[in-house]
Amino acid sequence: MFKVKGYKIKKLAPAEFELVKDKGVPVRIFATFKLLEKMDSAVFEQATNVSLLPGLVGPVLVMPDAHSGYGAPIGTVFATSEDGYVSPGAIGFDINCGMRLLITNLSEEEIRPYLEKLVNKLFEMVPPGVGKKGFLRISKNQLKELVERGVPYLVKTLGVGWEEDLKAIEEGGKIEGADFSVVSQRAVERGFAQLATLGSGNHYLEIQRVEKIFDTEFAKKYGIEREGQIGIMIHCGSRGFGHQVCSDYLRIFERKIDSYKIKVADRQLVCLPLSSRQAQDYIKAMSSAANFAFVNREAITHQVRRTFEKVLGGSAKNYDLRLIYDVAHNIGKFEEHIIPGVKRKARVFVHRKGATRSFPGQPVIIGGSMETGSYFLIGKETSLLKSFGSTAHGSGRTMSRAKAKRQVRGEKLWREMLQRGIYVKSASFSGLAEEAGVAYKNISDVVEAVDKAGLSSPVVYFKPIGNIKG
Amino acid sequence: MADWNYLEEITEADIAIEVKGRSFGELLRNILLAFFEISTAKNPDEERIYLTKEIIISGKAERELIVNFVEELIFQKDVGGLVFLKGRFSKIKKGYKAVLAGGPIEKYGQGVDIKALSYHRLEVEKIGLGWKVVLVFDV
Repeated sequence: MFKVKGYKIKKLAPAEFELVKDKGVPVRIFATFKLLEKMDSAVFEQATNVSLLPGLVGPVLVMPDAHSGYGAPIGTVFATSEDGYVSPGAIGFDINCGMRLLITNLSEEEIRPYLEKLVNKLFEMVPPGVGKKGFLRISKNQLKELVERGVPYLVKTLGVGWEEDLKAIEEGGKIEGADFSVVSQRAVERGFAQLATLGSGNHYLEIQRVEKIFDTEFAKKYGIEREGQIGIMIHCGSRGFGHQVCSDYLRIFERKIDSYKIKVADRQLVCLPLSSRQAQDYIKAMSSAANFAFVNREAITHQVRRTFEKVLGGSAKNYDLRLIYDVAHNIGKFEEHIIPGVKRKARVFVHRKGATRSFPGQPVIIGGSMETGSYFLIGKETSLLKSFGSTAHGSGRTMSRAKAKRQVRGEKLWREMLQRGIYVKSASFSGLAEEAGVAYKNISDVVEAVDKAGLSSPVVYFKPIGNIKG
Repeated sequence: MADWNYLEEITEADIAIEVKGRSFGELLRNILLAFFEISTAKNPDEERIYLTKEIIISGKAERELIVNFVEELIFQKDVGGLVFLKGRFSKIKKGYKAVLAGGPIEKYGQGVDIKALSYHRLEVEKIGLGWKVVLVFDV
């Protein structure tokens, strides 16, 4: 046993630790010792708060990229029994914030002469930042259909996106049970204003090159065959629609929680029984927001393909541009799992906040900072035994946004990245400074931890050459 | 000069601030100024006003009033593309009436996009005659 930031911790296995405490369910942390030491103390405090929620089955799991959020740390997975509880705040505001990876048949040499033009055009076609409108003009009824029927409706009825994309999206791009009638008018208006836009903060659209292939067989299955091959990565979520859904239901849950005599250590963790009308409405609204996010990423993919056609000429299919996979980060789902530590199979409600589903053989995408690169991985069998089939989602911050802005000058960073062969177009230099590589953990350290812990293993390492930021 | 400051130790990924006011109306005004400065990265004292808008902030208790006010500011930014740098607040029966002055966000520039107000550490404290609140924004 040893202490990190004043918290007692014991080692269970390679890249697997447990918080030593006397209340609540166990808190297990998947990390190398190096990453564990880098976690801020609030991660341990917040994970402990989560472990005191009612109705939990199995341990609370903290991923190697975890950092302090509010309520639950970003990078937390836990499950409640089928007749347990749901906590909107522990799923997160940006419902189905997620990652999507496309691959082209182009090499870096082929794309370099067009890189600046491509990035500038993408910036125009996929508006990042605040107050920008997307290309999709739809009626309220079409928005209802989109959030209830997801990407299949976007592709098959509105003709946006490719039909073959559907099989490469978690849940086929449509979470069952979505219901527009339990979504507020405010969420609808925010959704209309932001559909098919990238957003800001840590959201990005990147042109990347294959830096290293670890698993040639699995990579080949997805059309990745050589170093220098170009991929496109998209990181964004349900925009204002999802944020409003979470805000609305936090308010509703907070009003009701006392009547169920539930005590939570942090009001952001407010929860209600899954059997309550409010919880059932939240799940329907959350599923609607998750579908909004899948639709948003598919619409952005459509714009990426159009951009390639406009800049390089011909049809997008000439450049392959196939969707490898699309995974959700912030989501709650009923799934059947073997409960870690108990080894009993049960249907549970899994909360993933800043964590990726990682079922055996499933493609996983872990996005890093704009300076260091990202990984394409494969889910491992042991993730089902250890983590409710989940893994990390990113590299995780190591410093606050304000501190990053004090340390890094956005304009200088932009020039330095250009010298290193990364062309960035950002809505603001201050936003760029906040997202500097120095503000994040090393993505390769995170991948090493999930690999050692048996959650997922690396297939391909991508490095950015072009980046669009909000 | 608005009375607010960042609290960096609370969250790494998002933004936490502490806001004070000698009265509840001044607290609301300072929240407005903090929201503007974070959203635009501009000093509200040096920026121009393009339009005014009247809103009603309803709520029974101070905490509810603050949540509703911040959510209204987020809604105005997301749907109308508007941010505000001056506010006049007057108490009414069901809460506060606010006359806000500002303009389209593109006239000021983009700072950090505030997307939601979390309930984490959301505490409104009465200090003597004044008020203090901690706000943690999802950005």
